[in-house]
Order: sequence, then C-alpha cells, then structure tokens
Amino acid sequence: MARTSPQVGRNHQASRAQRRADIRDRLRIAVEDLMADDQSYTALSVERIVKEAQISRATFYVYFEDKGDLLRALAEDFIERILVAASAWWELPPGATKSDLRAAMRSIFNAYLPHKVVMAAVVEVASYDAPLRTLFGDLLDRTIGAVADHIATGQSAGFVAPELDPLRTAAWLTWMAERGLYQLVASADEDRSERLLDAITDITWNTLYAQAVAA
Amino acid sequence: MPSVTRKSHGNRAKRRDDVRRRLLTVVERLMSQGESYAEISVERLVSEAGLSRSTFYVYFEDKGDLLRAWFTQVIEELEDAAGAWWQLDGSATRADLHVALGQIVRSYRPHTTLMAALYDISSYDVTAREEVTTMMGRNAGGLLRHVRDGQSQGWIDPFLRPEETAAWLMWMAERGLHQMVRTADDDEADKLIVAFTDIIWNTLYARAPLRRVAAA
Repeated sequence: MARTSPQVGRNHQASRAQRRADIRDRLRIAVEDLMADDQSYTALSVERIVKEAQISRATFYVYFEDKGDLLRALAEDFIERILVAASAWWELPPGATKSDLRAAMRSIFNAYLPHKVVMAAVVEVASYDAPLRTLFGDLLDRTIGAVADHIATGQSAGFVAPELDPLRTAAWLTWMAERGLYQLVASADEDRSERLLDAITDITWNTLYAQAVAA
Repeated sequence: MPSVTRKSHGNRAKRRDDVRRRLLTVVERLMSQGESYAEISVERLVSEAGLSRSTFYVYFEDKGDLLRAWFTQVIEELEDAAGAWWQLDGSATRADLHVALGQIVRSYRPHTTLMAALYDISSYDVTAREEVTTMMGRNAGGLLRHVRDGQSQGWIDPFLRPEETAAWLMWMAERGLHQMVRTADDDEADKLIVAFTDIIWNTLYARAPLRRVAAA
C-alpha cells in the first residue's frame, strides 16, 4: 500500500488539473462571449460568468479563488498558446527564407486573434491587480528568454547578425509584438492584417537575418 | 481693475502648479514602490502630500485631470526629442542614429513613471486614452513621413510597407520606454539604446539602395 499510494495521489492530482483546465476553457469561452458585447472584465460578476458557462458557482470556487485567479489562469494559458505558435519561428532552420518567417509570424497572429479578449482583460485588470502584473511580467520574461536563445543560437550558427545584443534585442522585439498585436492586429481587417504581417516579417528579417545572410 | 483680475489668475495658476508638483512627487514615490496609479486614492495622495482633500478639488476634477495637466506640459518636450530622429536623412550614419535615439530615450527617462500612470488610467479613462492615442498618432505620423521621404530618396529600404512598419516601430518604442527604460539604471539604459539603434538601423536604413552603392 505504501508503495502504491503516491501513484494514486499523482493520478488524482493529474485529473484535478485536467478538470481545472476543462472548467477554465468553458469559463474562457463565456468570458470571451460576454466581453464581446462591450463589457469590461471588471464589470463582469462571477455570477454572470458561471451562468454563461452553465456551471455552478460552487464548481467555480472548487477550482478558482476568485475572478482574479481565473484571469491569471486564462493569461497563463494564453501565453502558453502564443509560445507554442512562436516556436515555429524559433525553430526555423539556418536556411529558412523570408516566406518561412512570414508563415511562422502568421501562426502567432492565428494563435492570438481568437483569444484577443483575454489579452484585453489582462491589460485592463493589470492596471489595478499587482499579482496579475507580476505573472504577466514573468510570462513576458519567458518569451524574451526564448527569443534571446534563438538569437544567440543563430549567431553561433552564423545566420543572425553577430553584433546584436541577444537579450536586449529580444526584449525590444518581444514588447513590439506584445503591444502591436494588442493595439494594431486585434482591431485590423483582413487586408490591414496582411500588411501588418508583411511589416513585422520585414522588421524581424532585416534586424536579425538580412545582414548575416547577405554576408 | 483688469490687472487685478490678471494677477489673481496668475496666482491661481501658480498655486495650481505648486499643488500639482507636490502631488506628482508623491505619485512618483508610490509608483516607484510598485503601486499602480489606478490603486492610489485621492485621500492617500493628499494626505501624503500634506494637503486637504478640498484643496485637491479646487484645482483638479479628479486623478485623471491631475495627470492630464502634467501631460499637456511635457508633450512638447517629448515631441521635440522625437524630431531629432525625423531630421536624419541620407547622409546620416549609424552613429548619428545612435545619438538621436539616445536623445529620445534620455528626454523620456525623467517622465517614464508618470507616463506609466497615464497608461494605467487610459485603460478606463476615456479622455486619457484619447490623449495617448493622439500622441501616438502624431509620433507615428512623424515616423511615417520620415520613412516615405527616405524611400523616395533611396536611403530607406523601398520594400517596407511604410504605414504598418511605422506603426509597429512606434509601439516598440513606446513599450520599450515604459517597460524597460523606466526601471533601467544608466548602464542598462545605454545598452538598451544600442540594441534599439541596431533594430532601427537594420530595419530601415541598412538595406537602402543608396547604402548598398556606398558599401560596394
């Protein structure tokens, strides 16, 4: 018994985490629907959200402390999706072309757009919620770290401009993407979105690869 | 009589400036301790500044009004700094760009905390949001004209989409200033300016037809 119980414990934990993720996704869809009608996250009550998601209030509080806790879970899940999409960029091979880069950037847009409301809620609530600010800062730091690794790796392999400071270049580019997606891409129609995709591809290409490739 | 009226107006404006300065000093101190502007109440603000609540409301409608009064005064200074970049032309070198961008970063630096406050409230204060949007629009417009001039004269990469490229770069500058430069010491700020310069140089100028001729 003593040897099997940790196993049982792990299974139990895993299924709780899975149930929490399922509930979180249902709540996310509810929040996205409610906020699409021009509501702010601050103005939404837990009551409204659980009603829209068709789960009980009690179930909500089994998995989340409060509305702020739910938003932190949504933010974490959101950045996770962006990071998965962005890995298409970081994993580009040395011989990649500008159109490969554009396709990778498109996958970031595609991961962002369906859940842009989550990002709007994060920006809104972060102005008064310190734990959310900290969490979002940590998530952005992880993203910056991944971009910096890509730059450093590319420099040793000779396909990224050697003079660039990996960490700080990554930081500027990541903040550009974070704010541009929120301010520009989220509200763009299809044509404008394509032009924005061209532009961020060119900025990234010219900054990182063009000089190294030409040399 | 008219002179008396003018004088009392002058005194009121001066008192308003004094009150504003005292309140904003408190705001900067609290924000540097990690608080956000949205979280700081008017009560807290006036008590830390040693003022009465009624004095606050004699001069300002609300917390947003206090910040807008400040913003109106610094906006010109900030736009002048941006002009150092727009003035560069085909003869400019990477070193010239480094100087111009350094000037922009250095004139923003003393104001980054209050700019962050303005961003905080603009997520819910419509007037503040309009001020920010107007400023970003003017800056993006300045950069857009610069890019178009450079493209037609051959010193900026002609394949770039001018409007969208200017928009991305403007947000990069804005976020970078508020998320990174705001908390950076002098040494870190210098490194950030170098990285910012490399990105702008490589994106806009390095691949321009005129530069390729010069390099060949």
